Amino acid sequence: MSFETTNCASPHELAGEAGHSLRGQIVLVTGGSRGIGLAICRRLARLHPEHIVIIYCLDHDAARTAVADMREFGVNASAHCVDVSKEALLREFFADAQTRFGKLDIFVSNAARASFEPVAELSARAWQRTVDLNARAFLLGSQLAAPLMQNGGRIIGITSLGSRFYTPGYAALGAAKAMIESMARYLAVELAPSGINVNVVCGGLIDTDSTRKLPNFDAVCEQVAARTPAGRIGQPEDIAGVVAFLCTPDSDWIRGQTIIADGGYSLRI
Amino acid sequence: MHPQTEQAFPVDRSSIEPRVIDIVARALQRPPEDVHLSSSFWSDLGAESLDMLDIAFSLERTFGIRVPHSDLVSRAIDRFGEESILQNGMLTDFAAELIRRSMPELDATRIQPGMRPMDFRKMITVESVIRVVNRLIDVKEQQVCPACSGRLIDSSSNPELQCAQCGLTQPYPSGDQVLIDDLDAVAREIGLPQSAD
Repeated sequence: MSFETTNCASPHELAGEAGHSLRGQIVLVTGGSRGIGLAICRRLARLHPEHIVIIYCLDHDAARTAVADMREFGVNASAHCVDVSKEALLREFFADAQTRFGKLDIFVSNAARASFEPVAELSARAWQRTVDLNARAFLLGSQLAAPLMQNGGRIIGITSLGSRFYTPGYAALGAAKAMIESMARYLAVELAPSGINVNVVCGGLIDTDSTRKLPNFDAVCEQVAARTPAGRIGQPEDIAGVVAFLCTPDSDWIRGQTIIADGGYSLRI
Repeated sequence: MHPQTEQAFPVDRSSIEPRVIDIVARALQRPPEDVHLSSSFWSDLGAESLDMLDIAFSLERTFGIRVPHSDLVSRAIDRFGEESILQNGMLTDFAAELIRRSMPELDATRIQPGMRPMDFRKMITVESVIRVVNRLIDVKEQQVCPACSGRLIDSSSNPELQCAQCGLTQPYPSGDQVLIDDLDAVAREIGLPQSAD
């Protein structure tokens, strides 16, 4: 028995170039001023949403640049300085968003922060803060976004391979990312009656300003690239492409899943 | 008061110290009476990197400023070149003098050539932060509208300044740029290398 392979359309072809559009939709991306978040904003801007809302924390210059970027795509955009780990501030933001936009269609929970140390040195405060910044921000953001998705919508979490595989110093963030992946399954079931689809994109090592600050980054990149079937480390655009696919109707039958986008790195033992 | 920042413009300077102490205490989950002007963040108060992000965010929100993203040694390396600031990974004479003059709240006798940058960072105190907050507010309150020279106020919708007359907006002065300008001034006093640009 033989199988013929067919050339499947890439997510890039499905989302945008083949006629998919986000026209009229309001998109929210946390951590959208830099790195993966910015790449997601740029990718979704090509689908012409009504407005892209960027949440950032401290990098005001990057946020202004990101908004200007979106406008070059002909997309309205705004940036809002919000610490997503602070419940009161997040609630205030979503209340303002409801007043300003009336609705939300896509929520991408991408913002992430952590401290990195061995488990034995992980303080209770660092643990709690990492959970609040990452997992609780995803949960609370989803809880607040859902009521704004009156006509259905999409919630997408961003995680990394540290959620399921050991990475030195990554205990707190890895556990928080695992929480996001688990929570997405529950959200997917419980929000489905409201027409809200929830999924997660889990990336391998991605080349960003943040990861470049890791010790021995160049050496790590070489090692990862050598082990990756695709022959390189990931770029923010690689994650953004998968997110864009999950924002289109072609992903409607994918529910509560964590899609690993790592160039095949995790396939090899 | 307006939604984005908690402070009225201009700031009651006598309120800065207690408000900074409150921010630090809340971030580090300590009673305010444990937080002294001379308390160093890392050695005395046990601060971690995420704590400093929390403190930075709260300072920006409370005072309507943009805090520096890097410490003095890192800024000095960017400005004057690593060879002027570090030798074999230790602070040079120039670097030590730069720190002593830029951070008068620190014990000058402990800031010596041959010191490791990490040991300097461990010395940064609550008073250091209060000094920086005061400095950034000084610069902010000196700003005028570049279009009409009108008075600038905190924007009601974003963390930025807005002209009370023509409505033009502009970012808060960059904390990094303010402190780089101050480093340049100190370097001119010392009489050693200027910008590496």
